[in-house]
Amino acid sequence: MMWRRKRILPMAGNKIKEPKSDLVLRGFAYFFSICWLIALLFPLYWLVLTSVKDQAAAYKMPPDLIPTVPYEYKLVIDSTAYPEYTYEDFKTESTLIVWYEFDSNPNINMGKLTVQWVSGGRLKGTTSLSQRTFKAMRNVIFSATSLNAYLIMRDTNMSACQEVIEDDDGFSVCDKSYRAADASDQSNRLGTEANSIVLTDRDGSNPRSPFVFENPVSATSQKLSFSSLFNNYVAAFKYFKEDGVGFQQFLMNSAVISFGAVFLQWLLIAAAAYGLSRLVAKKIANILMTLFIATMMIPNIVYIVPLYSMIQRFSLKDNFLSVILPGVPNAIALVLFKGFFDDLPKELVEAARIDGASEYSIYFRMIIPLSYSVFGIITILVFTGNWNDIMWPTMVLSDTKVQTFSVVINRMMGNIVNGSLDYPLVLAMSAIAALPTFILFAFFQKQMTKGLVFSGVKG
Amino acid sequence: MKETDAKTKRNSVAFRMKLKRFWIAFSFIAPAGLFFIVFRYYTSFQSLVYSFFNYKFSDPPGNFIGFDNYIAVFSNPSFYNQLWNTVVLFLFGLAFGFWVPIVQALLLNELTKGRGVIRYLYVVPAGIPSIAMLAVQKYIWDPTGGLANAILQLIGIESQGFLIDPDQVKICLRILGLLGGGVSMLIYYVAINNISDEFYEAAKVDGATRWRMMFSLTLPNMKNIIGIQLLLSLSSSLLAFDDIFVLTQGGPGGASETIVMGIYNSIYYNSGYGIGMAMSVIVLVITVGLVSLQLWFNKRGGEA
Repeated sequence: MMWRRKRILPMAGNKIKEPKSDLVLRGFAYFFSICWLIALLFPLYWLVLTSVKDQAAAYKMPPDLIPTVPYEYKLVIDSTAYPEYTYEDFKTESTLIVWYEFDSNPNINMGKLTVQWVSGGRLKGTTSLSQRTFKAMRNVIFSATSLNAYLIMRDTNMSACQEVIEDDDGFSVCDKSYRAADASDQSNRLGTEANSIVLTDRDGSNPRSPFVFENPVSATSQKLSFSSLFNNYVAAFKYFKEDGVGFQQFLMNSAVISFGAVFLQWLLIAAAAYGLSRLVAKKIANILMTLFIATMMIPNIVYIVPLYSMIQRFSLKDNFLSVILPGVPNAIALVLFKGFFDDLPKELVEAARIDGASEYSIYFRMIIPLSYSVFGIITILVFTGNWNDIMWPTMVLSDTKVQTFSVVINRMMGNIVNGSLDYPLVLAMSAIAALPTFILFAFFQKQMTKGLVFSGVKG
Repeated sequence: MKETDAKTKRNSVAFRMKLKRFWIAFSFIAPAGLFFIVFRYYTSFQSLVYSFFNYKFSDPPGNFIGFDNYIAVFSNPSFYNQLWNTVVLFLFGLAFGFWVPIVQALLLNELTKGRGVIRYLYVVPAGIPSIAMLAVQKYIWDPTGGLANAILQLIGIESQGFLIDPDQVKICLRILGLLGGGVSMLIYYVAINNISDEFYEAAKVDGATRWRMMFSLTLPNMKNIIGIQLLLSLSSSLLAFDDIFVLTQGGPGGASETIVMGIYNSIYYNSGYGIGMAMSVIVLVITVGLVSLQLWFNKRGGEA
């Protein structure tokens, strides 16, 4: 009924001729509606656009309005002329090349750099690293220090070669069987003078003869790499860690809290609404409803201190329940549920009662199957509300392991590393987190309208 | 003798039935009711009481100190600063944001083809979590890499500080309200659609133009919903927290610190629990006042 279209709109073939001013108004309405819509959707575009940029491009002035597709560079090392060139040498050399290139060209958008080892016409190994990975690593491992061969060898063996593809022999470049020998190598600044590194086995014995770079690079190539556009998204999932906790975990925490909250609305609020609608006298129901609805007047800031101390007293801090439980008294959901149950035909329940069905079986077997639509509305409303919540989770979830993505993204925006904020990563994470609620709004808008409008008017 | 026996028996059966029905109803309502009582009434009541105490977390509720917390609040100049900021932010919200969805809904109502699509797209941004929207906003206002300064540069104006400039921060927090859309646009649009067709038919027979209908028919019929939304936007300005918390944390130098942000800061950084609760009671009083006004509006709307 809400969506009934106006019949009186001027339409073609109407007998009364449209006045000129109406046409002007309609043209005006189209023009401004479309302009406004473009402006309104622009921040969304900006969100997605920034999330596929790299950090240098995000701070570029003036900013690019369309994303530039980064290039993927490929280097081929042909060691046919050097029979003594071993796999270990390739590991060292490719890692050093890749890291040196990225480190010395921070402002060039190199999506990915791949080094291939070819010997005797046969591909023997591949190392590849994306710029995003490099930056993530660099911020985590080498924050503020300059890069040197020793650190690269030590730390890349730990983590940087995660993107390395296994070679033909099934030999991973990333195995941790060796490391750089000693700290004296720290003097070996990459790309400056001595390019030789002494490598040893894990226990420090058996020093291998140093391999000296002789630039056996035989070919380089470059091509557009569309997949590198999503490096920030990959980084969000693969490399982003806060106190050892990844972004997946934060999304999962938000999801657990949101679904938990939805479940309790189904279980408790729906039952209460049914009880108030059908099981008590109207007079009492009205009094109780007034008491429940009156809680909408109380802003959450009012009871935050006693609630916090209550949460602490029951040692629920850093527990999902501390977020879920205080959200249960949701008067809007109660009113929506009750309104729906009130509209169900009374005869149904009466007939079932006469047949001797208990109130519980009436509720669970008959009412709930009839009420999917209102349960759906509540699910969407409560899920979005909890998914978006910032303040309360920030206060009660102080352990990183249980924090929601809102808390983490908010904290990231407060942490400025090396003078600039990594907006592409922040916005890529925001875009990922926006997806579930965005999909709900995109696909269930019509169903949600009732609940949204209601909570907007009364809330 | 026999008669009275039967009567008491009948009474007791009826009573037992009643009792059974009571327990069934109770089992449906009580669990949720308990949550309402514990997490809303009990905690709010505690706030009310503890606002008269020198509240300590280690040993709640601490000493009774009468009205000292309230006196401390009202004698603190930063409270008036917060009050002023709240009022200014509300006024900016009115100037930049409040009228936009109304105009958008009115214009939307004039469209013929593609109206459904445009309405749909207007509402879609409401599905983006607030933290994501705020992250975009923060990036747009970034003094070194943000879009706002890029646009200023394009038209030859030097870079501004925006969110880190005390003179600009309040406008920046509210000016994106000009984009409108979202749920509030939908509310007005639904309100327009609920106006009876007969009025429009009559107006058309009288030869009214669409302009005339908009100003003399649609707008007057939206008076109530506009009034309600105005009060709601007042109370939401009063309680604004998320955007300020994420974008400025009340800074720079308290230039965007609203009352709720002030309560949060006083609780979090100064352990001023008693003072925080006293302030929250003041907020509660103001909100209850606003809601009563809203109810009055609703009632008047019902009569009209």
